[in-house]
Amino acid sequence: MDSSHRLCAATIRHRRHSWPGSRNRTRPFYLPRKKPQMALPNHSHPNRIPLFRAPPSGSPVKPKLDDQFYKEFSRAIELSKADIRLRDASPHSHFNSNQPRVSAGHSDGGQWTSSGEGRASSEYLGRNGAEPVALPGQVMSDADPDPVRVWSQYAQAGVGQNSQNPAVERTKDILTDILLGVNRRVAAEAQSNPISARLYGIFVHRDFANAVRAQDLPGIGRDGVEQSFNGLGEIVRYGLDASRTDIVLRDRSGRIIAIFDVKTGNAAMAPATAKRYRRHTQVGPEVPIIILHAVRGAGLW
Amino acid sequence: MVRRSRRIFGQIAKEMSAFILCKDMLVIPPTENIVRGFLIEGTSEKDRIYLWKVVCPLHRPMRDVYLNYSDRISEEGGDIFVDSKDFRKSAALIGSIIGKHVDELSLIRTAKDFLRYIGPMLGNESFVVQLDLAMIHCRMRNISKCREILTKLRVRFDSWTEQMNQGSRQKHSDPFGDQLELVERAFASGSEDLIVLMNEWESKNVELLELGPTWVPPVV
Repeated sequence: MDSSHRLCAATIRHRRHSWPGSRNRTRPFYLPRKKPQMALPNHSHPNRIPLFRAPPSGSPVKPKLDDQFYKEFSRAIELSKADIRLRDASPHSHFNSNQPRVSAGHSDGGQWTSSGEGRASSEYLGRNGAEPVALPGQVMSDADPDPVRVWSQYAQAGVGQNSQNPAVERTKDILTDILLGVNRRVAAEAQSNPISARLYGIFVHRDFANAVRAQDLPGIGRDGVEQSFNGLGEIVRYGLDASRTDIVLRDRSGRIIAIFDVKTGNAAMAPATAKRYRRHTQVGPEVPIIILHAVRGAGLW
Repeated sequence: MVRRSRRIFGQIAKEMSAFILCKDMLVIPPTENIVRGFLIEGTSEKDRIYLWKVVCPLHRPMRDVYLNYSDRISEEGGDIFVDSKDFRKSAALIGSIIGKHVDELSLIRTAKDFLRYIGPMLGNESFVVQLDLAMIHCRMRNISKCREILTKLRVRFDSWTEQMNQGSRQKHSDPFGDQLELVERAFASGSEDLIVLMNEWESKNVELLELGPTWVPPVV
């Protein structure tokens, strides 16, 4: 290596130290690269979805990453084998037609909720998903300040709000109630055995699908749960290049009249996703895409 | 999933001569215009599957069998779990479920049978169903009915496309629109041309789904 190269390398090394973050761009090809060190992934990255829930601060022993990971997945496998269908199909259904609800025509546009933990009050969440507020004439209990909640909304404001269809409304109520039961149960299980938000979402989706199938609801049956649609509007198998819907509601002829999508936590449906759903199912804006939100309470996330 | 389906269905096909294993689908021979059989769909839950009773016309281009006219079946509405370590046991379970549906499927062979089968869906205005319906009518030489359906479908499809493209800077090309256009073009040059096109697509689908051993080629 001649002196000009050495000088060049020295200059670059100097620049590398004075320009943090530009390491790779300034490293000349002839300098030996440092052997990469094995390291755990950077969990603090803002875009990273946490794989597992951090242990509580008061925890005496901090579990290792692998231990926690395998514990959660063992639990997932164990739960998958449970006979959820029998539990959900029992005559002690959670559905109560007299349960108070926010009317569909509420002034702030198409968002409803059902109560948490069987209390007599309903909650209403604003369009921005802000704090629940009591409706006129109703008092929110402070017995459980962080309840398990379920609420629904239309995917696109001002679009698809043909909630005049009583079949859609009735089904939305029933599905909301089923989701409330599922959410409550999964949250209770998660309280005794903490799981990550991601796994919580998987359990809620799975249990909700099982519960809806077991109910064999009109317009949904067993076929309307977890259906995949390709770009031609054809129903195809899971795993192919297609949009997977949670619930599809149809009329007697089989025409789609509503699509329901379950979201846990603060997950929202992007307009582009809603549009893709419409393209793949070939439904127009007159068919509502209704998002059913399941929230397990901020303290649990 | 394909391997699991093949192992389970292969076991059934070995024991029940009424079926032929084609790719990963258990098919009831002979296949004419419509493929009938059974299919396993995986789920996000380990070892749980959906079992489909498949009825699918072959007259349109496809990448995989589509299930718009098929039903999920199970034992008294329960979930189906397969034992990944014991395929014989899984095959016995699935064999007992599909056995009840074979007679019904055996009756759907031709376009006419298919039309009768989808009778309750005739009010279904989804584009795929309407296009299939038009093509089925063409095959049955109900030319005016085919024309009527295609004309209405075009109007509705254009209106839907316009709604979908609202607010988008670039026009979205829809694969269904491309298929519709091909069908319309063939039909415009004569119903026989559309039937030839349908036969051509059918042959390709037979190849794609490996239905050769069950196929009865159409009489031209």
